[in-house]
Amino acid sequence: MRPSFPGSLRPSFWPEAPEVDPERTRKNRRAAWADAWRARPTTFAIHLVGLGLASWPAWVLRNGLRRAAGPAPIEQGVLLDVLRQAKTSGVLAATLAAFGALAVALALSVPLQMTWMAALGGAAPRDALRRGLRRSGVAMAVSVAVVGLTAVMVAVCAIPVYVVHAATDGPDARLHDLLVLASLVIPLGVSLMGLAWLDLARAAALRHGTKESLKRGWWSLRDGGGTFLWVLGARLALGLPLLLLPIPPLAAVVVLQLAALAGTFLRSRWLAEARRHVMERGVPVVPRAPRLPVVIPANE
Amino acid sequence: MPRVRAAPASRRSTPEPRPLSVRLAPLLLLVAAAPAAAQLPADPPAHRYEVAASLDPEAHVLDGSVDIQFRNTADRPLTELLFHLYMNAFADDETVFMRESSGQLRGVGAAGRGSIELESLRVDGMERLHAADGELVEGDRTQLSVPLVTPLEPGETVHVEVTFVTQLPPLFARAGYSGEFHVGAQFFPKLAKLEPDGSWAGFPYHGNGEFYADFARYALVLDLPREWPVGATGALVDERTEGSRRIVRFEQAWVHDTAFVTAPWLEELTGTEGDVRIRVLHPPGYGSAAERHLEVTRASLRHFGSYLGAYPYAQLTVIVPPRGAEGGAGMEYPTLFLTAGPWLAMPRLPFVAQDEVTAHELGHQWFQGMVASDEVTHPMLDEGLTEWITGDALAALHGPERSGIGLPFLALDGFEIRRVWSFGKPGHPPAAPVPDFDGSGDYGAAVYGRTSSVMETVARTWGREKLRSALGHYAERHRFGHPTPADLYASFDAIYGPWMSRRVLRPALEGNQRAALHLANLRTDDAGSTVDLVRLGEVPVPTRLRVVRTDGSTETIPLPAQRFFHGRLEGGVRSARVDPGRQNLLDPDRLDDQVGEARSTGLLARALHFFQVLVGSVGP
Ligand SMILES: [Zn+2]
Repeated sequence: MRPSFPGSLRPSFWPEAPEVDPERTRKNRRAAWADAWRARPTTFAIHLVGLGLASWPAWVLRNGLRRAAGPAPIEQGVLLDVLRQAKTSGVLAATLAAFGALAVALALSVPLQMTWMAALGGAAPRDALRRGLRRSGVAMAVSVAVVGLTAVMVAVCAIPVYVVHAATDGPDARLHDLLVLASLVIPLGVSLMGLAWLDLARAAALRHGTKESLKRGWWSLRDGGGTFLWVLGARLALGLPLLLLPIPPLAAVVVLQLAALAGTFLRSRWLAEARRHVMERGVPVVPRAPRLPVVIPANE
Repeated sequence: MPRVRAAPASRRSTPEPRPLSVRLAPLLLLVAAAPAAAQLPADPPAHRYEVAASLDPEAHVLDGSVDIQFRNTADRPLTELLFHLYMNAFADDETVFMRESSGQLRGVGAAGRGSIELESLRVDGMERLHAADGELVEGDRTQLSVPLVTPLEPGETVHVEVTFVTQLPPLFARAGYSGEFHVGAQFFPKLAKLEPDGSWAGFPYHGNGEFYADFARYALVLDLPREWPVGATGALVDERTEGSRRIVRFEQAWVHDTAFVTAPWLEELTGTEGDVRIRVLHPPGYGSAAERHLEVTRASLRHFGSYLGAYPYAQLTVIVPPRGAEGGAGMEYPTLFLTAGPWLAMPRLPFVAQDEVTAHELGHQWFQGMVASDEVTHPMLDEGLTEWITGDALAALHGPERSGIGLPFLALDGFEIRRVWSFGKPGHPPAAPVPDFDGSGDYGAAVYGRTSSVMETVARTWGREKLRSALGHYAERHRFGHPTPADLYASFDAIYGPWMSRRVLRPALEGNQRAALHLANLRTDDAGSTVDLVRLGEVPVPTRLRVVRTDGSTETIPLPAQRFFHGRLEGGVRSARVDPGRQNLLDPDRLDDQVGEARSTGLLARALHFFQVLVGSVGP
């Protein structure tokens, strides 16, 4: 058996993370609600940008399907005919529009998120915009680094998935499929971790340089990772399942738009919390324990 | 032959939502319709086959012999014998099969070669292989013609002994091996179908057609590794072990082919339905899927038996192929079939594809197994009719509205899927022979999609029970026979009257005619409203018009099968729809069946929300 081990297995070149103070983490979470509430005008403006981008492919899709369906209601019986006739016009155009909207959203995401986080830090909307734009360069560099590093980690973790998948010996397909599913858990977890890191590192980029932001973002994962997953889950739960609700058109508008707005607000609350976590990271809150020599008992 | 696709159904005149708990009820209802046990003919068939083969599981080689007693049942002397040597279809890329199928079946590509080599062929004790002609179509050695030294007079029997070595191909098209899983089908020399006029119904092995043979008594003797379970045509009548090998003997009278499946790890589930013993052989891990296949097999045996005549054999073997053996899935042989589907059993979930393959391949026990029409010349009588009875069975199992897809938010009638499928390509009529079709897309759309759509339109327009009676008339009259489309038409005319084949079946099946409906020009003025209906196509299907009045009331008006209809309706009309019950499946487009106001469906609100979530996933 290995004796208890002062220090850690951390390589010597890797900077040591400051201790986590659970009380401070809890405090950040509570304060994030207030931050989010205060910044609601900016949050609403961000929501409107998303709405504007989404309305482009939605309008194209709706018109394409209506053109194909004519006066027939788009329901079970004519759905197949609609799809057959719309695939050349409406659906294809909507797909192109959707890619266009995604590209614009991606291009805008860094300056918008930096502005948003500045506002969540208490800046007035105009100052927030100025600060957000000024910090976008660092945030961009941080984003490229996080996405790149995450991609490498996911690729490494996906090797077992490929190996399990390619193993075709043996007829027990159920066992095979369950193994593939199980081996997918790690790369999936790493991807989610990368997404949380991205938000945290961008939050740090409001004040710090690229390297320091990456480091602080990484350390803050321990405080904020859980919240990120919670918010992501809540947004998905508020999102797609509602599409399938059998409710009349007008009710659908109200319910779906309220859900989308709630999703945006939840995200603002997470970004506010991320900002608070990374601000404190790097500042040791607990006096560092002196390093002790490793003691290995002779006969164990 | 194979089906791998989604599923089917029919429609009651007033569709109503079905609670989940009620959805399994049709299975139970079918129990009541259990048919009376049927018997095989008392007389032995005219011909006898004794096939013996030893499997080398490493080399995937079958070393065997066939002993045939063949009686000349034609009315004139025979001067030659014609054999099918189907495994030579996989010998190279120039065979008819490989050219027609482009070396793939349902997306599975050929990964190696297969062949059958004859070592000797003796006719009444005399070696005749040297006189045989093995290349009747250039580049294709799937047929062999052997001239007889003395003509075989009508009623006389000839004794043929052949020894052969068959190299099974990697399994991509029905027969072959995938790892240790072996499908032995079409692996031995077999005589072509002898027609009553003394000619042989000769054809090479086609990508989309293979079956046509005389009924015989088949014995299949297999020499296999000792521990390998095996499923084969007929019943196991003898079994013994010799060292590391096991020798099994299966026998069945009144079948037109024999086939087997073996693998060391096959597990077995058994059940009975009436007097029929059912074996389901499946790979490890597929236990619950096998239970569902057994359940569907039992329900479908009752369903088909109730109007096509009972299944007459004592044994039925269902094979669930493993992953990697998709090329052999969804394939029928007498008293044995390979189904398809994942290990996941989904009895209460809405995906009917797994049930559909089982119902379809079981359906072939009637339309191919017992009603043994020429699959190459009249694929419509084989695959087309099977496709309709499959859809009808699925509708009974899952409910017509959910027989294609039954998700909570999306239910699709399986026959609507077939309708759209059948109009996907402007191709050949369903009654065309296999070689005429332009590839498997054209073939599938016409033979499976359109034939079943024609049958379902007849069922929905003139009554489902009546259609079942017509098919039952045909199936019972030609049981253990070899009917043609004329026989099918005669059965329908006997039930409906002579107009049925002349006005409906022939135009639709041979002329590729449709019954397109197009509603136009809804106008309302002080005197009332008018609406025009235009029909295109030569199939006279009567229909209905449903109008919604400005006061919200609805009315349904029957419309005779005339080409133009100019209707004057009392009062204001908000919208009108022809064929509201969707009985006509020969209409390529349902979108022009309605005039008047569009009904909002909240499509924009949902599309907007969908794209908001999407944009939010990459946005700030
Ligand atoms: Zn079939």
